[in-house]
Amino acid sequence: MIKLDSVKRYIRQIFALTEKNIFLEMRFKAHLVSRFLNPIIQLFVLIFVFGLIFNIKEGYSIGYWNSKNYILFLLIAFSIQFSKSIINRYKVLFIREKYWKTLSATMVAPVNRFTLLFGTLVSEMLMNSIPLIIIFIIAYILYPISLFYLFLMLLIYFFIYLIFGALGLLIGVFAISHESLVPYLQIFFRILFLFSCINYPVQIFPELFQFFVYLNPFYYLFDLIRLVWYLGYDYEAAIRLITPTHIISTLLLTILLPIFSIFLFNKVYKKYGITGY
Amino acid sequence: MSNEGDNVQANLNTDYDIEIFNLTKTYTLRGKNNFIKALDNINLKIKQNEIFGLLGPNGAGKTTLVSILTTLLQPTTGYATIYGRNILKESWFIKENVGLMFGGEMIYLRLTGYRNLKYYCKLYGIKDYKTKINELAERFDIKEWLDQYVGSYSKGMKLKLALARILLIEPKILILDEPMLGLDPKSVKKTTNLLKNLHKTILLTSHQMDVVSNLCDRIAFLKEGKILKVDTQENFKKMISERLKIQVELTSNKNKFVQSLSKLDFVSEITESDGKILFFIENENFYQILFTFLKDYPITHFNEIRPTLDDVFIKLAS
Repeated sequence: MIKLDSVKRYIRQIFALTEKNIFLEMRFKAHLVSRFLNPIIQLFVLIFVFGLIFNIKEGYSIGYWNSKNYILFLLIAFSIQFSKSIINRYKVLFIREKYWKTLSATMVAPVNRFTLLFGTLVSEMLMNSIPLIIIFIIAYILYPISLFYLFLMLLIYFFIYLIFGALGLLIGVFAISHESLVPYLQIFFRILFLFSCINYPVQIFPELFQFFVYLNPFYYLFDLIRLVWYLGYDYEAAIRLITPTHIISTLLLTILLPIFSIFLFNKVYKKYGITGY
Repeated sequence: MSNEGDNVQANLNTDYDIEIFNLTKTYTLRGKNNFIKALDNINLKIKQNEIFGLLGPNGAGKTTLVSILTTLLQPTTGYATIYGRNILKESWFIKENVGLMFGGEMIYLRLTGYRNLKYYCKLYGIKDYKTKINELAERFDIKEWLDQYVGSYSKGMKLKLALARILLIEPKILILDEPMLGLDPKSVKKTTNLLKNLHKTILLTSHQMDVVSNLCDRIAFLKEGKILKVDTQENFKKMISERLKIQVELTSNKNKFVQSLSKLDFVSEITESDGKILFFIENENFYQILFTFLKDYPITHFNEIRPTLDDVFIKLAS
């Protein structure tokens, strides 16, 4: 049974970690600026490329991507890519604090691993919030949806952050104990996201590769967030595209991945501790 | 991983705050197919409110021991209890009640002193932290620096902040690794008094023998992962030699004095330096005979030089 005092304490600790991370990031504000601007620059390239493709022939489409909706999908893709940076942030923060020896101070404190997950998660969410709000406003102006769908989008974004945070924690524990394994994990995630179609429709792959995409639960997660906005904008076109697999994959990833990553974090950390200087 | 601790029931009525049983930690050496024992079958008991010193040369295993006691590392075999609680099974209790300080580390250089202290207060759930931070900052003379980034602090100030951090969280047991290295003599004295007056169980490692001398009730000497001896500092000093070094100064008859002195069986290694004569006597039992001998000479200065803890350290480390 979780006591109210414990919950209050965890919340206080999450905010302590959040505050610390934000103030550490604010020390050199130029990092924040580059963090916001770099992905926006990349977005323009994709808009030009897809714009060119869809303008070759009128009515041309790739899957359900066409000249009328591709900007919405690219804006959403950008927001996902931007949020995805959190996976790497855990690694960066943990390695930095490992060498600063401040990680030891946090680990000897009575801090729960969920606190560690959420503390970093909330700080990253807050720091990412400004560019994400800007993207949402642009998407809302171009493709208006009702408040209900907007709320649904925010809920799925929270799920996505939780999933990315869990993946970050997974890489993070190896950054603490087996730094040499981190690049291999990153390659694995890169391939995983390559086949999850964040920036492009699944149809750009040859059929054999499409098979791998359909096996990837992350594909359904990212597809769902696109389709939820699309549902609010063009219900008839979007509703037939959402399948139970989309819902089940998203829920399973949201529930299982944080639990698994915390379990693995505890196992690895308990066995190896902070090593690999 | 050992499960020896599983069979141990927490003895909350123990007289010892820290008890270490057969603790061993091995590391695999890089590029070699063998292991190194950082700790080798350590057994140790530290009493309530005792200030206990852990001495040893670099690489003796002090930091490994400290890391295991604070749950940062897991032992290969063996276990330890703190307040009768097994550190392998009740790590949460250990985290809540043991404060660890690694010299001037464990503080954020890119945060201000105040933000550092506030962060740790919130992690440990310290109430009324603003007042406590101000009190401690005043005590350590860093109040004016609290709003500055720690990166701009001197080494001594970083140590003061690290000490303030650990005192703020009010742990029942303090584990301090080199807590005063880099502090000026005034601050060392002030900190020593402060730690003494805390009336808490403290385990400290230090290379500053004056700090250990002034602070510790008992000392353990660690070398190559093994405890060579646990004792009071007086017994440590006796252990290295029972011989006493004597220094005398005479107004005249120096040559005759040295000749006669060399004939005494219990006297050895007579040397002369800066007009003073130095020699060793076998032990304290020969004092009476020596004094009788000295009565016949015009002695202006007599001094007995006892071994210091530095001598003990050098002797044991080698």
